[in-house]
Amino acid sequence: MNSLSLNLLLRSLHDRRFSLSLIVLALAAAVALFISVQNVQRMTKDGFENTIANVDLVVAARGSDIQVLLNAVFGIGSTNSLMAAQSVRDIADLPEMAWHVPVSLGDSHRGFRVIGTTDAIFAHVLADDDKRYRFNKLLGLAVGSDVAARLNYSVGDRMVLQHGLGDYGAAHDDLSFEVERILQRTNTPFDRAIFIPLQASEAIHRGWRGGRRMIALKPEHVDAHDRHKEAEHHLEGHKHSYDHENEHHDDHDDADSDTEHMHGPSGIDAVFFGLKDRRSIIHVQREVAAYEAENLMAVIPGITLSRIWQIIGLVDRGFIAINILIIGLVLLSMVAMTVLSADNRRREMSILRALGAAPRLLVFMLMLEALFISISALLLGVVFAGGLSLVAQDILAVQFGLMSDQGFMLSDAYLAVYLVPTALLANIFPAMRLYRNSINDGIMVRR
Amino acid sequence: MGINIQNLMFDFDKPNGFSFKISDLSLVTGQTYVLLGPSGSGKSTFLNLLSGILRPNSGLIEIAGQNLLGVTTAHMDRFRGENIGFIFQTLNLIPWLSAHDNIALALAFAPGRRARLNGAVSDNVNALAQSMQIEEGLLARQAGQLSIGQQQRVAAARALIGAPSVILADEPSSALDAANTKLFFELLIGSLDTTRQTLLVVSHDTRVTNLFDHTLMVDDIIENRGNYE
Repeated sequence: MNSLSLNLLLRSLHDRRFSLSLIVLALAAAVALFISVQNVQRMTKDGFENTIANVDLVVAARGSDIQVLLNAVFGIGSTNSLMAAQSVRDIADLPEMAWHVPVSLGDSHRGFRVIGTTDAIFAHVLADDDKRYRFNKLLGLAVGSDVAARLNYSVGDRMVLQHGLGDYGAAHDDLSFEVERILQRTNTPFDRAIFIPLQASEAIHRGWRGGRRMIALKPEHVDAHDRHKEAEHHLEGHKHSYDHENEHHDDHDDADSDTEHMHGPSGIDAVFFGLKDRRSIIHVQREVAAYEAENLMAVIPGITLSRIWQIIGLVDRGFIAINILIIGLVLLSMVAMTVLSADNRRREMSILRALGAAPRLLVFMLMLEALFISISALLLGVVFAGGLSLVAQDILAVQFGLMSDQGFMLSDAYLAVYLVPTALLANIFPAMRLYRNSINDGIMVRR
Repeated sequence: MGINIQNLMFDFDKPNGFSFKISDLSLVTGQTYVLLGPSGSGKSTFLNLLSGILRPNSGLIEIAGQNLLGVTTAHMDRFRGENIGFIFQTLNLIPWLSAHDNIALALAFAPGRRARLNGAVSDNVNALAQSMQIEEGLLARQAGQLSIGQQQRVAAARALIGAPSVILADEPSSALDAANTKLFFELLIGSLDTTRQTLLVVSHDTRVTNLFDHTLMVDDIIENRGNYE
């Protein structure tokens, strides 16, 4: 191979640039698809694992651990049954527990889910920058970074929540909330959530039965200028005067705990727990299972995530298999094209043989061609996949809650590198054919 | 010595039993030869033997002092590229390469021919083009766009570049009219380096014999049995 024969190869490629670029494009598209599947796979895994890395246990009413985790953490699906406030208190009182974060789900705001919770979620689950944030008032809320970006909220704006999920729910339009904080990005589904104080979640459901509002609340019923305590005070007063007429709210014991007042229709869907010592995890899990007042279970997120992952992985592997099939088919069309063009160029081959080119040099040039095609397709495919992930990132995040610190990484493409040796292998057939033809044809004019 | 053949025997291993024999043939350096004969007389076999595509069973077949029987199959292509310049009947050129690049292509697989050049590749290409009356403007054109006459002259320039010791032409004028045929052979013969090159043209056109130093008849030199073509 010297500059003249390299020039020959380049000119030859240039002469066939149309059919070659079609093959390169088809291969690149197949490669991009392959890389994107790898990309989504990794993002799913990362996203799942990052989301509640700090949470040791998720406690909820007994049922499917997968359902609990998907619902409480990823906002997928719904809860079957709620936990009683007393149970939450009892479990939280276990000596092994370091902290706990109750979550109450079911409301939404323009498609984003609303999580009723306590300050502890900022301290233990969300981004470090938000560790010190506390709800300032009962009708104050914190919005995840994606929500703020999408709906263009800033601190001080007011919003009304929706009862239930989706657009069909009735509005809690008797009460509006004030945005207190835009949360730091965490690259978890929590970026797409709105956080309100648990008491507020409870309060806005007061007077609701079966998804319909029975009585309207006035802001003064629940509004609070100080922190929760005063609000709770009012609330309790309201509730009690509603439930038990004429009973003065001062009679009620003013509890300090955040979990103190978690009754009412909103209820608790799940509680995230952090342990003092992770080694006690199995022990605590048993204790939760043995809790008598209510049927509860403690889900170890890592284990359940890996079970979810297995299910997703099955679909994933199927998809990858189809993808490999697609790449194989495109390679087959590359082989077909190479055979066709080599057959069309038999005259050229015999000219080259007359000029002193050995059959093995012609084969070498054909293999170089496959190398060129596959490397171009690989590079183009990586570029396609990168572009695709930029475009699709938003859709993935919105539709599937798929998020990752890095949307697209070159490491997603490492398996696609096998395209090159596979293409070379596939091209052995046309190369052998070319070799045989060029031996048989020799240097004489055949057509 | 240009081409020297002694007791050359060749058999196709076929039931119809074609065999081919040349007892004694010497083509001298600096001389031009035309070999006349009808098709089916063994001309193609002869050219295939000279170019090393077919290997003789026995005998001596010498080009540029090298017995082809001593050249391994693996080195035969290289030997051919270095020592023989070919001109075929038609379709000599690679259509998507420029005329210039087609001429230079003869150097791609023959470093010895390249080394023999005096000066840059392009200068040699231009000189030969001028000698073969290929207008300068045509050199940059794709070979497929040239007329048949122009293409054959480009093919001749390609055969000549780097001065291989033997130029073999297989019915090079069969697609040309009488005027172009005469011009073609005159230019080709005029462009030869007679100090080191031998020209052998295979043809069935008796009108051009007067342009060559020697006229050979196939029947005089080749003893055929059976029928090959």
